[in-house]
Amino acid sequence: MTVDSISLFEILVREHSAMLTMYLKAAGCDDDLADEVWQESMIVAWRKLDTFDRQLPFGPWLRGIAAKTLLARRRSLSRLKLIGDHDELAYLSDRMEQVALLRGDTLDDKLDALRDCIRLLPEADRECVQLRFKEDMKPAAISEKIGVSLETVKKRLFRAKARLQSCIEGKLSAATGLDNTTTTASAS
Amino acid sequence: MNLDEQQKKKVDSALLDAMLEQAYAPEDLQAKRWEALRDGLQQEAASLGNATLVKSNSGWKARRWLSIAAAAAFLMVAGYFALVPSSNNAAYASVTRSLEAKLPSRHYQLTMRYQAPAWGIRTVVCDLYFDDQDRFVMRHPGWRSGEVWIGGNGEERWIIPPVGPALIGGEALVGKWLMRRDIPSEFLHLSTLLERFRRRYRLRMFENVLLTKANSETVDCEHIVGLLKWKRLDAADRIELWADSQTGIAQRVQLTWKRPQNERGPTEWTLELMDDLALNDEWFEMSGHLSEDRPVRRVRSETEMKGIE
Repeated sequence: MTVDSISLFEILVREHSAMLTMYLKAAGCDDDLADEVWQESMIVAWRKLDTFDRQLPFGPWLRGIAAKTLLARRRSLSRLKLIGDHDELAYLSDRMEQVALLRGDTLDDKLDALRDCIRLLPEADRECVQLRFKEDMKPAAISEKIGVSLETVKKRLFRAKARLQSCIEGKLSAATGLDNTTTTASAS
Repeated sequence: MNLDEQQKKKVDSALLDAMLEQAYAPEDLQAKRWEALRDGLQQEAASLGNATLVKSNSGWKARRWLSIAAAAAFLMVAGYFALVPSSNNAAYASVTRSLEAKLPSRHYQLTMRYQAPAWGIRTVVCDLYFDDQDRFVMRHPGWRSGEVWIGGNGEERWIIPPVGPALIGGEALVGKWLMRRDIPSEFLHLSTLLERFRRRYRLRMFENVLLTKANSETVDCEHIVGLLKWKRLDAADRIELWADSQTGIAQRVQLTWKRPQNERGPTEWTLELMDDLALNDEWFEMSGHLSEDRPVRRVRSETEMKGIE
């Protein structure tokens, strides 16, 4: 390893750290496992850095390493609801690449697109989403806190997520310059 | 890639959840992760005799002290590995055997040594009981007002404090109580502790030793030493396991933290098998440790947990 490759690696880690974490969470890792797989993937990436083609984007390459690590561990991780197989992880990686095209320098900047979508939700739905994802409350706890039935909370969350999915799809399509059909086809 | 619409929806939904989580509570762990990674890379470079990593002067927190740290790490790792008589595969296999070794029930003593600038070293001794159905009971001496009993099965957890009503609830109930006393909850499940030892530590196997137990009996044990692969918040830097060479049962587990003298926190904890007496089912239930007239309060939510000491 030369000093140049170390410098490059530090920059790459900094740029892709948060995206890799989000990928691992989306793949079903809890905080603990995400932390471990993040470390293992970065170590493997470091070891293989010489084989990385610098003309290609680093994110998909790194997520490929993380996917292999996850698949290798899947047998001993039956307690977690991990995204199923190689194809699903590859599809997830493609979707992440679309997220990477959203406007902004950092992942936090890019997520402003989602924050805009959240602002468009009806207030009652937005409150449930906030309690679920900001306060990490389970639907039963939300139901108790805001004084509505559990069924109502589940319906609000389901409805809110459907709206958010549709809204963010529009933004991802705009960012990639593709309509939804083309996006799906290219990812398949 | 051949995914049907159902599979794509599942992945899209998982991605949306992860995005929402990140949008609401962006993780502030990235710099910490890099520091831990850098330590791991240093160790690897040192063990390979490759010190080029320490020449880096770019990026986040590259420091001149890295060269000193790498040299120290190299000496430490070189010294450590020079003593290693057998492969890490044997150590991994031995921990796995220990994980799978079951007894109907067993009693361990947990001796916890803490340090703090205000009061120096404090030692707390607890009793832990496990069975082969993942149930546990812990007796903690308490800090001030008397001993506390904690227990649980796969579904519920309970706490019997020295005064006031006994409490019954979910995992968070006990987790919160233990967290306030700097006790990681994995101690309540020996299998979790050993599983993490197997995954997160560089394992090495040493010569068998004749372990002398508290009752003066001796047991021939396999001796496995693990060094933390990369720095993790609150994780012990070194764990040693002594496992019965015949049965694989963990006889002693010792955790050591390298901690500056002026820093508060655990320094050395030892889990020691005391006996493997058969305990009946009642022992693992709250009712087995509770007088009939003692009130019981069910804790269902975080709000209800407020005020629980």
